[in-house]
Amino acid sequence: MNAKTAAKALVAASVTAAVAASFFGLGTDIACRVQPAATWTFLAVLLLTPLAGRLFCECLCPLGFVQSLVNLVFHPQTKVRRVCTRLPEGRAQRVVRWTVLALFAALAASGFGAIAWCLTPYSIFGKALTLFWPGVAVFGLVAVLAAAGKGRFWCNWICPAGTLFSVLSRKSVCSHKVGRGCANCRACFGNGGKSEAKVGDGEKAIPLSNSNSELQLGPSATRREALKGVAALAAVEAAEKTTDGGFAPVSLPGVPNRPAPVLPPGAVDRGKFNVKCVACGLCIANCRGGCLSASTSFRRFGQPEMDFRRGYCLVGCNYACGHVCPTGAINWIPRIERKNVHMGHAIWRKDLCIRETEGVECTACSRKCPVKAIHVVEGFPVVDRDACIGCGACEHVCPVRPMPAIFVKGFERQRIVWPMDPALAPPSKDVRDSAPGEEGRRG
Amino acid sequence: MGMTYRFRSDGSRVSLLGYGAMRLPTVDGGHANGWNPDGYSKSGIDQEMLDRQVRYMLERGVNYFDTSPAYCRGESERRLGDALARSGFARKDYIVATKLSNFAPQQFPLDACRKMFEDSLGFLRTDYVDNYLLHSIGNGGFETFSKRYLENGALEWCAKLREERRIRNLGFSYHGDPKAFEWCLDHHGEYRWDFCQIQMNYVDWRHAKEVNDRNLDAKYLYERLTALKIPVVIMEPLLGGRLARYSYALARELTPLDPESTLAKWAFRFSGSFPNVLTILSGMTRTEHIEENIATFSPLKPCSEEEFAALERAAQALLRTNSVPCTACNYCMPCPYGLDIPSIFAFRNEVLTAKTPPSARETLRRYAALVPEELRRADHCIGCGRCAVHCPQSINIPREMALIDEWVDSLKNEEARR
Repeated sequence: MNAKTAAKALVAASVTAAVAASFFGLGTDIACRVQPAATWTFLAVLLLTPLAGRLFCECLCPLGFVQSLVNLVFHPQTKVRRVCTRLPEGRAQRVVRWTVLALFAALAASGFGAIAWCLTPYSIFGKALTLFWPGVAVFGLVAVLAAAGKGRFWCNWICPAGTLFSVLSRKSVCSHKVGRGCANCRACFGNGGKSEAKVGDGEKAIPLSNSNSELQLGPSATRREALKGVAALAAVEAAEKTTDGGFAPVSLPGVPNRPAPVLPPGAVDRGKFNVKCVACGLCIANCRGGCLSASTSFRRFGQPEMDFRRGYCLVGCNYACGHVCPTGAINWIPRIERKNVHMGHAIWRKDLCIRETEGVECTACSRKCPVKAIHVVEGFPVVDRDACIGCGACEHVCPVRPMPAIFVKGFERQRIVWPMDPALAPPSKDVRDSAPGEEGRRG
Repeated sequence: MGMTYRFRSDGSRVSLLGYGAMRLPTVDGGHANGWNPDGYSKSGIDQEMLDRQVRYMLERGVNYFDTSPAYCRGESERRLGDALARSGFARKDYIVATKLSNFAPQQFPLDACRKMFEDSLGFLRTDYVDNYLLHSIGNGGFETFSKRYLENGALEWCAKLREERRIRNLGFSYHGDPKAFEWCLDHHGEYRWDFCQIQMNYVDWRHAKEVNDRNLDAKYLYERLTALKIPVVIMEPLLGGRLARYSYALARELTPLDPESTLAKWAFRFSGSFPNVLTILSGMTRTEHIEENIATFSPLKPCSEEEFAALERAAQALLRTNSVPCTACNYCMPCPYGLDIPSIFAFRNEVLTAKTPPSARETLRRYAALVPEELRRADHCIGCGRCAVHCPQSINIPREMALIDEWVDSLKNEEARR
């Protein structure tokens, strides 16, 4: 291993470690800006590639890093990492990689952005850290292929970003040209670091400009509100207790079959979000309220959506999700308090509520509401839909099982209520660091 | 030196330290009424340990054992009865106290009360009970007291049991509505109370009313009972451990006087200093508690004037922390919605009694440690109020839960803003 290779490996290791750390809330400020899913980083890499070759694949990509590492361990005899299986692009390889790229473009253009992004390395990395198995499986696969002597198979055969970079780096100054007379003898594999003819790194290949336009999802009327009318209390029976101590069993509620998913605050437009979000999982890992989780639905696979079983969106949160989002899919809205972003509104189901099924004087949802949007009128919770911000606190605390009797329906387009008070309206530069004042919690 | 004893009018002696069978040890090392570091106590009571502990106490002179049909999810009487029977001591060597714990409406009719008493005898493996108590007479107000003991004729029936010598002494334990207490004392001539069980410690001595308007100061209760020559049995000498656990407010006042004394010892010495006290009940879970407390009582050194003054200062300091007056008696449990009410209060109190308030992050970490299951935390309170009627300390539990949740939410928001 020569110095150049070592330097690349070091950079790759540092980048991978930094991005991994940002999933645990460490150094998010730097990592989420530098990580190549970020728009500006991506453009910079795009510009550099024709000059410097496929640096991305070697230095910035976690999947690339894993392959390099495995190569170093399993094939140390090759002085240079084996970067591709065949130096001149083989026909099969060409067909496969361009088919994948075409598929990627077609998916992204037809509103299946979340599926398209599944092919890109940072999305896979994020899935390894949020959904676990889908991501870990890909990492395992590339490691096995590398160990089997297939080199950087993923970069060279599958990765759409890799394909893009390989095109861009064809005329690269730093890479090595393979002349027409190459007999594919592979002798070059053994000498000083020159065989990287076509190492490509995967970045999000498809320009983000596709994001608006026709890709918006419909008003998601496809899903019917199909909640079953089963109301079972997590609690013990209401029979009068005769002895002291002990615990009633508790269980997590199910996920209500929402007519529309609730997106993180700042995702604003569902259609745009669906295309822009690469499902890197950073927002999920950094959610302060513990409510963001990776979607398992087909069209939003891996993308964040609210799951209020374990938490709810905190009104005092400084948009940790928007703050870390590398692609701008979730906007960080500097001039506005979290409670002024309406993500959806709560819907109460009379047939499930324990007021109806058990006659219990329950006020859990209205007690918990941080913006006092749920009023108990004549014993029934009435949701003030103008005040409700869709934070999910009510759904989180609803005692009804298996499905909560109050749940949040996400807006197709989030509503931002600018403060009426002129004193609050002018944007303050350092609002990010200052506390957003009164939270409107119940007093 | 041996155990300190108090003598009754009939000449029998009662150890000044009594055992309260409300927090029996469990196999997993916790106590039967609560949470322990290993999780929610799902395992059963550690009978072997209890047998050993009961024998240990009897050998060292503790002879008063207090239980109830309601304790430890209804297990207490049977377990204690087994342990006493196996101890090798004769029935006359120890005093058993149990109660008429007819809290639920279906237990109000006299037949249900009779059954409860007969069950108690069976569980305790005896044909008489030394001390029988009307359990927590002020709970739920005077109306409930009336329904539980007067309208159904239970009190008359208890007096008859005493005549039949199936119970030797009749008394009552008092929490809550003062009217019930006054009624009982007004009718002392009629029912001749042999003893009375009250909550007494250096905080409740003068400040019970301050903590909750519905309470009566222990000083008043004690003096009323003493005037009528009714011996006093003390419960909650440590306020469910609040006076034994480290708290800066208490330690600052008490430690300078005797740096080696534990906070628990201070509290016991306070209660034991009063001559009309028959016995002081302590719900000791661990053998170490038992050893330590027996040492405190063998013999008990009464407090000096200077020490009483220090204890009064400590009580005031504790009150200034505004901690929740929960004694972890678990009468409120199980909450039908799964909350772990005593642990939530324990968390709140731990933070309030710290010398300096911990940071938001540290506070939330303690919450996660003390109430590990999210679904058992304060925000899941629905405000139904079924717990509040059972609370001997008259804590407005739903209100406290809302306040605690609001406070925790503000901490979470503070954290999320960083």
